[in-house]
Amino acid sequence: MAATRRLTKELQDIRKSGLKVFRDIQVDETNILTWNGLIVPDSAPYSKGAFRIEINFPAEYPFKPPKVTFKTRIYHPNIDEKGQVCLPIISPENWKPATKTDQVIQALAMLVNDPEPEHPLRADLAEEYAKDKKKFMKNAEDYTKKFSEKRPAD
Amino acid sequence: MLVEIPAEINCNRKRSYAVIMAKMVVYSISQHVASELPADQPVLTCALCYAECTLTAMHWIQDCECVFCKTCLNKYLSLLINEGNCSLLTCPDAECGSQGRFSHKEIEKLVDKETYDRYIKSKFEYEVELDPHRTFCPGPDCETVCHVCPAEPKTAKAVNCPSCGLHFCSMCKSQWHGKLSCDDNQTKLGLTNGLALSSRGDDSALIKRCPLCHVPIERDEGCAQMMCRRCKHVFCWYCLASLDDDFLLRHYDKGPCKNKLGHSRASVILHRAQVVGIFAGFGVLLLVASPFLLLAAPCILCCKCKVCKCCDDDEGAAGSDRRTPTVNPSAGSF
Repeated sequence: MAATRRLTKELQDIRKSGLKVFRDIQVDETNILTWNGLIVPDSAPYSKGAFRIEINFPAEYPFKPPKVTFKTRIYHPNIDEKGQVCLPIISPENWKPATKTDQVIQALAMLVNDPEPEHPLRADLAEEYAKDKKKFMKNAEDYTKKFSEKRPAD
Repeated sequence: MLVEIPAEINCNRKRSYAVIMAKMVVYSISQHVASELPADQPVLTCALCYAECTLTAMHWIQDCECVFCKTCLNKYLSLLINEGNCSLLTCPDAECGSQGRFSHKEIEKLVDKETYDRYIKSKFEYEVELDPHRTFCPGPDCETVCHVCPAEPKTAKAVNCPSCGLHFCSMCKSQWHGKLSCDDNQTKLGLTNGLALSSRGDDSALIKRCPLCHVPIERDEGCAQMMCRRCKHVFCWYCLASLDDDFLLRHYDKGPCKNKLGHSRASVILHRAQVVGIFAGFGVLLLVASPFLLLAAPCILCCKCKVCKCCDDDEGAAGSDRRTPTVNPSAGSF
């Protein structure tokens, strides 16, 4: 099966190269189509915590894109309350099968570090981000302290 | 290690083939782990499924020269064709600079017959729907392509189907409604609910038709500058005016759509600065290069004339291997 072979190899490569922004990768041996891991952002206001995400690969992977959901609550204009995130690189109309999971994770980490209020999923937070950045930073920091997971030691 | 180059590969492909071959020989020595593949054949790793495949199992996309295995390309193309994305059959690698397109011949070779037939059919439907002078008859089980009078393509016209005799409107495809506009006709028929299709500047409508190809478009979020995914036409959501040539988005500076774009002032200014910057950059480049171009112009023109003359001379000498240098005709157009 193409999906299994490719995902096994991608997982091996990611574990070997050790992504700085994606740690504590857990994959159930019986189901390689679901990955769990921690996004570790390095920009304020998220730099004090880590956020658990789940990556779900369809059986048709790599011909159909994976889906990413946040399992940890996060105060972010591009990530909604259910943990859904709008990432152009994995949207069905933009998806290209040669795109590797580490590129997807890098794009996700970039979006977390640098919110895009122009394309928001939560309009209220985008407005706050654009109009009152100080307040946004404070709220996001409080939220991070309250809900985020501990950052893994280096 | 000698590998026969397939006969269908033409001259300029042989060069790239040779380069790939050279890379592969190294690869096959260092990485080939001799599983079920014959040990004396070079192998390549497909960037989609990561399987090691022999050369015969791989396919070179003619347009961009990217290489993938035939099994993966079959799955990739079949999925896109079966989902109706026939206009977007490009190289599956996002990092491929030229985003090479698959030719009809390549698609025919890579997918099964049924999928290829579907591809040809969707491609034809796509062409008809983009053509203002042709339209499909909306009658049940009637797939006749009807001719639309070539007066003004954007106005509603009565069309007569030559096969089933249906008398319909070229815009909304319902029965011909005479002088009534398409929207008024829908209201009359009681079709207007929350999701009514609108083809004019009605602000509250959730779904409107693309002014060019008439495909229904739903706008759920984002700004008012819309691009039709199907025909790539850019237009204003509110008044449906064409924005294809409005790079600076000046449409939203005055008139009924003033300030309706939905982007902040700052981002519009940034966008305009980028567009102006690009044009200014090209202008400066041309200005800097103009003395050299002026100097070089006589040489280029002379070369061109010489080439023409050589070609004339060569015409008599059939079978000769001599090649004359060709000059890119665009070089003289600066």
